[in-house]
Amino acid sequence: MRRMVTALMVSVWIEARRSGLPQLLVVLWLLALGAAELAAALVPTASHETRLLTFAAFARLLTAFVLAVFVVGSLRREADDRVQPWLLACDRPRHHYLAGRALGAAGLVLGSVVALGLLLLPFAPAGQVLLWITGLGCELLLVVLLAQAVALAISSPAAAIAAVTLTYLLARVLDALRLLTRAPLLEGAGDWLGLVTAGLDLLAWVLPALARFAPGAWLLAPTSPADALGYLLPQTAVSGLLLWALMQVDFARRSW
Amino acid sequence: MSPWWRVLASGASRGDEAPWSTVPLAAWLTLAGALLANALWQPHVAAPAPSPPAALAAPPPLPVLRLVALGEPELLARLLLVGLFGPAASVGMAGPAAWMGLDYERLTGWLAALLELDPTGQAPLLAAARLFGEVPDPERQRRMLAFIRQHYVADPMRRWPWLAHAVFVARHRLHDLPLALDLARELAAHADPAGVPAWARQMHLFVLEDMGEVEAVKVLIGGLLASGRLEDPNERHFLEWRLRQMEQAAGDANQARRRW
Repeated sequence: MRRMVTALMVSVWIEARRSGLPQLLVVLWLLALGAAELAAALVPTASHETRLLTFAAFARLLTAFVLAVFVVGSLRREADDRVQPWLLACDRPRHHYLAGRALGAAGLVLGSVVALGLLLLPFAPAGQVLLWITGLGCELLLVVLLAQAVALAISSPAAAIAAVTLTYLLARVLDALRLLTRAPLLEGAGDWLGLVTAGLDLLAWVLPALARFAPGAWLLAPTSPADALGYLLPQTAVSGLLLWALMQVDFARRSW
Repeated sequence: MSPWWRVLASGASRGDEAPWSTVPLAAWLTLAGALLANALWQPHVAAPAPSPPAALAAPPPLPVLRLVALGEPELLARLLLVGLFGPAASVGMAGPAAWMGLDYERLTGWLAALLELDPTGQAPLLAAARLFGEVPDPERQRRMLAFIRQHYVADPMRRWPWLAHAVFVARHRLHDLPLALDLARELAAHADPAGVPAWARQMHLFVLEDMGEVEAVKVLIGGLLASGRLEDPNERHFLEWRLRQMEQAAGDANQARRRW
């Protein structure tokens, strides 16, 4: 088992390096830094906080998007090149293939958050940066697992990327949407509001509230790690396990 | 057969899938375990809690707002307006009490920025007149009335209802007849008879009457009738009737005074 998983994991990293993923991420982070500098120059006060928050927000979105697109593109290319059926024809359980790919993507997440952490160190205290990149790492881990599950289920790369993007955005705004439906402003809005509220509560049962994973506020002021990680780690474990299980069941039925 | 959504998503069927029975027991057990873990974890997840309303920040420069709008300034204006009264509403303080905590100078800046983003939009003026102008604080009310007055001139045809409302607030809530007269005169000065109804254009007459300036009202009504600007016969008849009524009231008052 270990050899196939390791080989697949390393192949993901090699593909990422050859396709210029690290360079792309660095360029995008530098662009985010430029946008953050612009934002800091425009605000009349609290320019440092604005710079930090803008950079963190842009870097998070760009990294999540690029990693998701990479995972989807890599898996679809492997399927289209008939590499996937060839690998699965080997005398190995299918979950070895899934594990190798997932660990490879997790390695990319780890590399990304460490690099981002180094970039953030001049702007915020190390403890706060460490907590923030831990949250971001958990968030990105769920994003790449979701991307892998969706790419294996949907054969069109465009549809898969759209599905991952929409799910990610929904998970990020889920808390805000749930608060909005309970706002006094919407009192007496009608029966549809009850349906929407119930639908959002159901979604919250399945989707992690990503807005709580790596809020920019963690970079601005010290946060209790126990409070932050008390939600973060169990939620990542539960959501990751759910995605993993769904991926396994779906992938076991695939035939070529 | 592939499920319909897969066919739709891919544009073509990917061929047959193995039956569910081929899924290994370990995969089903993992899924069941994951669902169980989720069910056990969810009760420990706190529901999203509203954050306490933060102090209203000063609006960023208009070019920044246009940049953030990504080519949809009208949409951004509407979303920002929701954001202006959203925080207070989300903690169960919807209504005038919630607005009392806002910095009205900054609020005015935001409303002006929203009008700049969407000049045809009525929402900022409506909010100024009917939401933020309803606070039980004359100073804040006056600030909102000044905002409405300032921006009325740029588009009188669309914005006259809010200035008319401002006249009402000044006259009946603030009991400030000079201010009401001032606003009503501003309304009349820029109102086009083609788009603004007569009652709104003639509000200053009624305010003057309230102030006891009957002679001034008579002169103004007479001037209006003589000018030939009133094309609607009903409008002319109403003002003639009002003029007669005032003259009769003035005559009765003179008679009473002579009897004394």
